Amino acid sequence: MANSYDAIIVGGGHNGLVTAAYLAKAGKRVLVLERRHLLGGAAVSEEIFPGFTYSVFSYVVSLLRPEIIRDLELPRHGLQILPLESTVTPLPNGDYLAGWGDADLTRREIYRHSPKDADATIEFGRLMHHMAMAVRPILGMIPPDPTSMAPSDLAGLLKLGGHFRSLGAERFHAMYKLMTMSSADYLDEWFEFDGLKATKSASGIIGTFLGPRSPGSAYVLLHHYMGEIDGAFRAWGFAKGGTGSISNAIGDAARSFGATIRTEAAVKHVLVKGGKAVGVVLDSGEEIAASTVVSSLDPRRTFLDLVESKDLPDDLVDAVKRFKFRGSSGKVNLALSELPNFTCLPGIGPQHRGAFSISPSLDYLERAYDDAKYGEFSQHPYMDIVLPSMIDPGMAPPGKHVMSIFVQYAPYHLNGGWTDAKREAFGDAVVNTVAEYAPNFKSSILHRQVLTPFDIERITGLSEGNIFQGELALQQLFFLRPAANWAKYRTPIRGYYQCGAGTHPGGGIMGASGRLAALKILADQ
Amino acid sequence: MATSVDTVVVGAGTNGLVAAIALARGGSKVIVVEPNDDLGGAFREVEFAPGFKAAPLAGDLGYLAPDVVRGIGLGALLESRSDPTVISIAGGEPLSLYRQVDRTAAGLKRFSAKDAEKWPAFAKRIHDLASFFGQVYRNAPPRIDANTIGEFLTLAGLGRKLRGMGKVAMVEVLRTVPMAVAELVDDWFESDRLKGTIASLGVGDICQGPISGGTAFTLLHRHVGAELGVLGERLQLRDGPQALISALADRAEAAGVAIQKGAVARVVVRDDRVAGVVLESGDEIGCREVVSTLDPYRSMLELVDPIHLDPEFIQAIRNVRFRGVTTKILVALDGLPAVPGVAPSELNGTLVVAPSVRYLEKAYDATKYGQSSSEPFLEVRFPSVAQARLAPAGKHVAVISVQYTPYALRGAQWDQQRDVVADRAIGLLDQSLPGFASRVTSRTVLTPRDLETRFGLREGAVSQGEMMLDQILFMRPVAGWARHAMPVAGLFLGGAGTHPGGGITGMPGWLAAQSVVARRKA
Repeated sequence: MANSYDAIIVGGGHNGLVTAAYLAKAGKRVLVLERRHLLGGAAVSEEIFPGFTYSVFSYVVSLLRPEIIRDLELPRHGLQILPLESTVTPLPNGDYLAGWGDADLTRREIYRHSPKDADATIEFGRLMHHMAMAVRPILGMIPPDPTSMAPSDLAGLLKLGGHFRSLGAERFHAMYKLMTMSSADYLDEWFEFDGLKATKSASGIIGTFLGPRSPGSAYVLLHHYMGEIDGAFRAWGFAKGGTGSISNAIGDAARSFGATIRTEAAVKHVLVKGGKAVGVVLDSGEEIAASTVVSSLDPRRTFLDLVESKDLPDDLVDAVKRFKFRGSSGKVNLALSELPNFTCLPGIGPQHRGAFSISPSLDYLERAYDDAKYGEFSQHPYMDIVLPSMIDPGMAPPGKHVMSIFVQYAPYHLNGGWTDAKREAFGDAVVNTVAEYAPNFKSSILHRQVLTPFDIERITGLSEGNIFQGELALQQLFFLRPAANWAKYRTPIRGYYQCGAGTHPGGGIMGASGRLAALKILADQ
Repeated sequence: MATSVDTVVVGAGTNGLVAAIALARGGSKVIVVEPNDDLGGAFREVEFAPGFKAAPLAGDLGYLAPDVVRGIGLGALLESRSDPTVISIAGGEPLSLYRQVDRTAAGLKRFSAKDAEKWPAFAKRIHDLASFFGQVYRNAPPRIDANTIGEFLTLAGLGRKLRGMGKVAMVEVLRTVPMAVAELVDDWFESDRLKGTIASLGVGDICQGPISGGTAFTLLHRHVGAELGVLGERLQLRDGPQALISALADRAEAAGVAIQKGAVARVVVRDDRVAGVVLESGDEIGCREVVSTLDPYRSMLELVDPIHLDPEFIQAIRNVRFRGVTTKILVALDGLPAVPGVAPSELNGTLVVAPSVRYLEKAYDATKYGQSSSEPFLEVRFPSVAQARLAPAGKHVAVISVQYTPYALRGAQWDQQRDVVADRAIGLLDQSLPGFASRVTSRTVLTPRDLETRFGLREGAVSQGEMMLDQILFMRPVAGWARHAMPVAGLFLGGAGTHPGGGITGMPGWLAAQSVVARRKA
């Protein structure tokens, strides 16, 4: 082995790149190895159809940690976030429900449907803001092990205990409810208007194999409230140039600190000698030595594919085998000759600069989940539809548009398995459902790319197509993510670390896992 | 005021009687006010056909905590003898859970050799995890913003208890509690029949299916106090719940508790504290404390004038989820049905129709849209096998629990649905127990709505509030008010709607009495 590095990062997704950048910034010789021809993992922009750029998988951003943007000076490396301005939900009665960037305007709109809910919105927004603030320090914390007697763990637990005590009983109780309830039950305590509850509850099911009435979905709701763009909570936006430009900005930052990045360099496995990681072997047979190897892949690949089970304790292998992935989301990317004209809000207007949420009622979402629960894709799915070319005209040729449709539910474990025919049938269900709301839509489609969880796994490597590298279920969070005893980015193999979203605090282009892993690695040296 | 006592207890159910006895033995003058002729609250017996009697909710008695057994002196009543405890009758040959781990495992071999091998470890795991809750249920839940040294020590003690279990067990508690019971059984077993049987023990009386998070906790809650290796047994008492009620009535009388027939119309509050109660008859009873064993909604929003309560508290009580989903069918039989491989004398456990997790989940789906399950989950007990007095000689009684049948139906009325649900359940049972339907000579159907009107259970919820993670421990009945004392000084809650909840018979009343005594000293 001729060349040698301080650290090799397996996988050039955003978390891997964040870890690489932090390690390089600290003066380490770092090599990133990415299997595909481009960086980003699930955060990529690709010109799949000539002239049209899709954010192929992940398409909006909100959760990226501000300290990472600052530390890595991402705006200097080309990161520019353009805000999404609205959410419009077409309603079963032909009307619509809109949420606008302006809080007063939104309240006035909700008042049209329910004066009571318009009042509740203020208090609800305040509480969710406080809850997100309460969780924030935890996102930036290496999770202490509550079963451990080690001084650092006890200190961490005391700090955590102190944090919860400082919240006061009322907020602690509210937090506990968010951790345990279903989003439908939680929202029922606040609101009466079904369309509003449905639209809000949609955040609680994204990327998760849960329905709005499943306990645990309220936590996912909170997870999506934690985003901040320039300090504004619950603000979602696009990266200019598509989601791939986030990855590219982080990659550029890493390079500027001296990291080397190689694409089309798939790692076959990690070399382990005497219980210590000493390098990697590529698919090509090439061996590269390093004193530290960091996997940004999900727990299944990190522990079951890249290393041998004999190098790991049995309980960890069992825990990883049990870890729930259950991808539940699909994606449809379209090139359009014209903008969709929604019958509930006819014409082309500011609504096209935001999202259309196909979430007419809680029952609608729940029935979509019922289909998936029994192994079918939803015939009438929940969809989050955005038109990136309206905000960033460079994404499509003049006069034309790209549309990104996030679709739920499409179970990874489809009855009979996914086939090309099933994929197209799924795409048809999506297109037909959108067409019910916008009659000119079908004839405007120039090109369509349909991605099932199976495709997401095949292309990005995310096990079972789970966009969070493992479900955000209570028993898979914090000191249990990905497994008890191994939630602090280390593994039982010395010098082998994990930095993906399968570790605390989880997915959503936060970068927090990548940063915390880098800090842990540096602290260990 | 005609009468004046120290404490008025509202409701002469098990919890009300336990609270009254505990307080009277401590020297308090106590009156229990009960609207029904018979004592026993939700567990009282009804004669539903000439010569046929049953306590429709006896199966929900659950576990009689040692603190209550010792404290009140009820040891002589206990008897555990159902064996098999559970027989799964649908989906093929019967699958039985026995008291002896080895015997269960031997029987499971016919379904899966792997599962049979894992059974002993699974039974032990459930016992260990449930025992943790058994410990937690012995005291009022700690306050989160513990301000006093004593409360802080309880909180620290809880953490110590958890840490003291050892690393592996502690991780298992924290990991298991939020899980779906479906995931738990998937971790252990491969046989659909066995998984369905165990999952059915995690969804009783809750408006959730086995795939819902938190149902693993419900399974553990149900096994608090169960012997090692015994799953799915319901509380067995010599001569049934009637014996418990009579014993409590005797001890109440001996302790000097007065029991007055009547319904409490409201609690009188003077100078921000309880001064007495007014009955519907207009009579008043003066007192220092009221312990209400009615559900939190009725206790706080119907008996107390809202001007004495904060709007936030009222809102929190309104948000308590009840959502009864169980219909009880009392059936008179001219003989026991035959279950292959099970002797008639062994039919004193529970028969279940729960062939798979998927079956249970499908049964649950209907309730989400306000419908009753077209293929329901059924539990059947034959209380007359152990208590011959419940039926004429040679005849028997069956109590069928039908789940899911939502209290709030959409697009239908319970008066029209009552017989539909009963016919469906009996028809379904007839498929697994051939001849069952033809043995039915009489039946009485108690829908969630009937359970509300006849047994005072709001929305037909047997536990006075769904036993889900967000409504237990320090959240029961509502956050911040889980230690039985309510925001009005002198008012206490002691029913199943308070910690530790339904199925831990007598314990809410016992802890409420302790809270009364503690407040007097404070």
